Amino acid sequence: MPAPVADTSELLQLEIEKTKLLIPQAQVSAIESITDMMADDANSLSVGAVVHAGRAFSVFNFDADLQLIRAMPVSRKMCLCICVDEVVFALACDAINRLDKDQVELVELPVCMQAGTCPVSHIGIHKERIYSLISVRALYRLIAHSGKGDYMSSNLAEAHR
Amino acid sequence: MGKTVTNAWVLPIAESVHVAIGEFDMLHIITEWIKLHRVPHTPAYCHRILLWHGRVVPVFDIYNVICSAESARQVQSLPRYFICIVAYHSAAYADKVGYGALVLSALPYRATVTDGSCCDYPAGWDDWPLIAASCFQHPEHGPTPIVDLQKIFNSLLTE
Repeated sequence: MPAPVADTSELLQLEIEKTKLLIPQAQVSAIESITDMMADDANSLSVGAVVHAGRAFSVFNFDADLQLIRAMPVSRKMCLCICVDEVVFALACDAINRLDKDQVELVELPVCMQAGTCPVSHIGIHKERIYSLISVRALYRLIAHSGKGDYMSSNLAEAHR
Repeated sequence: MGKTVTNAWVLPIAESVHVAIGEFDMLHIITEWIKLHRVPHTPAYCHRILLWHGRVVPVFDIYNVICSAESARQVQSLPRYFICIVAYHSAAYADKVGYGALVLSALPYRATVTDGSCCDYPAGWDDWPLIAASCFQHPEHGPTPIVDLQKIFNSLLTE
């Protein structure tokens, strides 16, 4: 049987270039403007940091294939601040819209596509458009796998404390 | 005892590379442009999906599986416009039909397969059993593997 989708009433749709992602709104703490990002706080993986409610969120920037990139395309306008238990980070994206989950048909990612590193758990269909529902934890693991540096290790260690 | 004759579809997946599927596995041949959607971090041979009659259908590129990564990239740059929709028994949804898509380099055509035409898999790639159930001798193309649709769509092949 297909894996259940997190029980949330709303989904946020993120655009990163041509890639359209979905994320449960309950996993999102805030949306900040990219102009509020402090680029001085960048490290080997993140492109900067934004602060919300006194908490710093490292900002990570992906391309359309969800590969971490250092360059910041001019199309990036927003930072999505994500907070789920120990997983705390922000995603740079071009646009963010809200979708009613009841209007989105979610189907499990076909078995033949479920590679170990794939952060996509379900495919969403909304008005004949296709979206990829991502797992925040899997996305964070993807970031962690990308970095072997001390920052990521210390950041993850701090997150687990 | 007479020979058993079965009808099949021969699928060209690259120049001089052909595979086959059962006659009733084929549902539809898409000859016009159709939008394919990339899904990040999925296998190179199956990284796209399409919407067909409201269903999410994975697009499987068999030639990408049998080629080395380098030659597959070269092939991907060639114009390959044909896609066929196939049906298989879904393992995820018991007793339900699953739908998949295969990338073709040319339009498929029918052939007949007899018991006596069974043969070894084509030389040059040892892993045909990963994706095929058996093989038959086609009078024009030689050994032509019969793709096991249940196997390729119900599991993740090792990359």
